[in-house]
Amino acid sequence: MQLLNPQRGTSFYESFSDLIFGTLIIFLVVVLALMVRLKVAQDNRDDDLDQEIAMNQYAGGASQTDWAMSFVLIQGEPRLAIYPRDAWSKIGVVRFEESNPVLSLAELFVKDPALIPTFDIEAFRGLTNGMSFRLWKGAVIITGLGDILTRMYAVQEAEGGALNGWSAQRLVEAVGGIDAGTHVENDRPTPAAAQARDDYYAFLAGPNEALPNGHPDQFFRQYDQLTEPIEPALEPTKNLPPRILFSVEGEGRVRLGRAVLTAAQFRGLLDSLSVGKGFVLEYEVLEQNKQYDDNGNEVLHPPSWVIKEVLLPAGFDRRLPTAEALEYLDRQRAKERE
Amino acid sequence: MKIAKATGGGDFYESFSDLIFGTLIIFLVVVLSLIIQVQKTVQGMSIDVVSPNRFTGSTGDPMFTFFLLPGDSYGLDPEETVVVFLPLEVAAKVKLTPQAYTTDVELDVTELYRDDKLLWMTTDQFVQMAGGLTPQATLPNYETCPALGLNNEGFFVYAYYQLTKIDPQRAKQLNIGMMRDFMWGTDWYSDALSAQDQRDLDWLRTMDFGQTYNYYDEWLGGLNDGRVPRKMIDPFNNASNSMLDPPTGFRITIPQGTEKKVMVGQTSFEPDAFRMLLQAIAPGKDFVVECVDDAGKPLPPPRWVEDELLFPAGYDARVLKQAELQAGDD
Repeated sequence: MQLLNPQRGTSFYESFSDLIFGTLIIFLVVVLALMVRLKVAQDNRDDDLDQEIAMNQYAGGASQTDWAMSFVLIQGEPRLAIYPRDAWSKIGVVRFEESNPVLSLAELFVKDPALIPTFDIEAFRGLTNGMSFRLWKGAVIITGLGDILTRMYAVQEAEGGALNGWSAQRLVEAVGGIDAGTHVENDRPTPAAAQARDDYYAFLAGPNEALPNGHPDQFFRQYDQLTEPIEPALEPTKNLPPRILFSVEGEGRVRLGRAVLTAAQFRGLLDSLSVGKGFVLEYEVLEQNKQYDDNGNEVLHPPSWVIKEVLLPAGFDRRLPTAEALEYLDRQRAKERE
Repeated sequence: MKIAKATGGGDFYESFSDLIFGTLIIFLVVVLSLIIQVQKTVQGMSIDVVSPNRFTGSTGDPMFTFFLLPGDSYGLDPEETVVVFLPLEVAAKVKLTPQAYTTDVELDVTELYRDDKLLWMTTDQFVQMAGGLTPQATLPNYETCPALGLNNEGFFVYAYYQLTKIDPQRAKQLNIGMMRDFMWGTDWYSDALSAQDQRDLDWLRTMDFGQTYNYYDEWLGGLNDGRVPRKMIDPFNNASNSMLDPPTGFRITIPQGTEKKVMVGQTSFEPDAFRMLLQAIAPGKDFVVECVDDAGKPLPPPRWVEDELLFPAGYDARVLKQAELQAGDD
C-alpha cells in the first residue's frame, strides 16, 4: 500500500506495514478458506450420518434375552438340545390358525434332525463360555420339548434310523399327538415313543429317592448338576449386556467359548434367541485369523460365509454404529435441539 | 513494535505497522486454532460409522401377549371387552417348566392386576392402533384364554375379580398364592399354611370356580376361535392390510403441544402406558420403533421420547439404514 506524496524517510515502516498488511490479507483469505472447509466438512459428516444412521428409528427390546434348551435322550445318551424360537415361543400360546410347538419341531425333524442342534454335556458347557452371564440366565428350560424330541429320536430309531417320506403330522401323531406337555390325557404315543418318555423322566429324576408324582424337583435334579460349573465361569461377564462372543475356526466352523460349532449349530443357537435389551453378537478375531487390508488396517469383520450363511438367514442383519459415530450424532442433535 | 532509532516523520506508518503486526499475531493464533479444529473434523470424518464386528437383530415374528376380560373387570360396561397386555418378563415364564416357588405366572399376573399395573385398553382402542403397529405382531401371534392350565392368566384374573366382587373385605385377607393352589389342587404349599390361611383356603373351596370358568369361557366364545378376539383382531388386520406401507414395528407420531403423548395409529398413550406397551413386545426380525410426522415422513423424535420412553424400555440401539451388509463381502 502506497500513500500519496510521501515526504521523507519512511521506507522501513512503509515497507514493513505493506508487508504485514499484505500478509494479513492472505491470512484473511486462509481463514475464510478454512472456515468454508470446516463448514463443508461438517456438512459432509452430517450427510454421511444421515445417509447411514436412521434418525427416527430405534431398535432393541424390553426385558431380558431368552433362549430355550433342555436335556434330550438320544439312543439312551443324554444331550442338550437348543430349540428354535419358532417352536418354543408357541408353548402356552393359543392362536386362531395353529398353536402346536410339537408340529413346528416335527417339521424341522423330518427335514433334518440336525436343524435342532444338540450337544454333549461338555460341549454344551463349553459353548456357554461364549455367552455373557446375563445371556446364560436367559435360558428357559422346557422339559416338555425335551420329552418330545426324545420321543422323535426313538421313533426314528424304531423306523430303522430314518423317517423317509414321513410327514410332520405323521411324526406328531407317532410321538403322542400332544402339544408339548399340555392335554396329557390325550397323549397316545407309539410304544417306542412311550418307552422313550418314561426313560426321559426317569433320567431327569436322577438316581435319588423317588419324589411325589409331578413334583417339580423331578425335572431339575439333572439341571442342577449340569449348571453347577457354568455360572462361576461366567462371573467375570456379570456386568456385560447379554452377549455372544464368537470367533471362526476355519471354513464352516465357529468357536464359542471352549466349543467349536458347525455353522448349522451356531445358526440353531441364534434361531433360539428372543432378543431383549442390549443384546449384541460380537465377532472376535483370533490370532491365526488376523488379516490386513490394502492400507495395512486390521480386518475386524467376520468372513463373508458367516454373514451370508449364518447371520443374515438368522435375522441378525443389523449392524451397530460405532461409539464415535453415536457420540458425534448426539452432539449434533443436542445442537439442533438448542 | 518500536524501532529504537526512528528518526521522525513515521508516526502514521509506525502506528499502523504496530497495529497491523499485532493483528497479524492474533490472526496467526486464530488460524492455528482453526487449522487444528479442521484437522479434528477431518479426522472425525475418517471414523467408521459402522461397527465392523458387532451385530444385532432378531429372529422370527414380533410377538406380544395379551388376554381379554369383560369390561366390568375395569369398571366399564360389562358388554365391553378389555384387552390386557402381559409384560414380557411375565409372559416368558409361561414357557418355563413349573419350578416350585419360582415360576408362578398366575400369581404374578393376578398381583399385577390387583395393583393396577397391567396395561389395558378397549378393543376399539386396540383396533385404532392399526397403522402404528406391525400386523405381524398380531397375525396370528396372540394369546388368549386357553383351556384351564398353566397359562390361563385371563381366567385367574377374572376369578380374582369375581372374588373381590363377592367379598372384598374377605378377599383382601387372602393370599393369592392359595387361590392358585386351590385351582391346581396341589398341596405343595400346604405345610406352610397357618391356621387362618387354612380356614381361608377352606372358604375359597366353597366357591364355585368351575362355574366362573364356564362363564368366562362362554363369554369368550370358545377357546381357539373365540368370537370376542375375532371382533378385535379381524378389523385390526383388515385396516393394517389395506396399508401400502405397514410398519415393521411401532410407528409413532408425537402430537403437537406441550403434553407428553404418543400416538400409535389413532390411539393416544401417556408415557407410562407406552412404556408398558413396549415392555409387552418381544421384537422379531426388523422390528423398530420409528417416529414420523402427521404425513408419515421420518421425523427425529423430541428428546423426552428418547429419554423417557425408548431408552428406559430398552430401545436404545440406533439403526443403520443399510439393509444389506457390505462389510465382510470380501
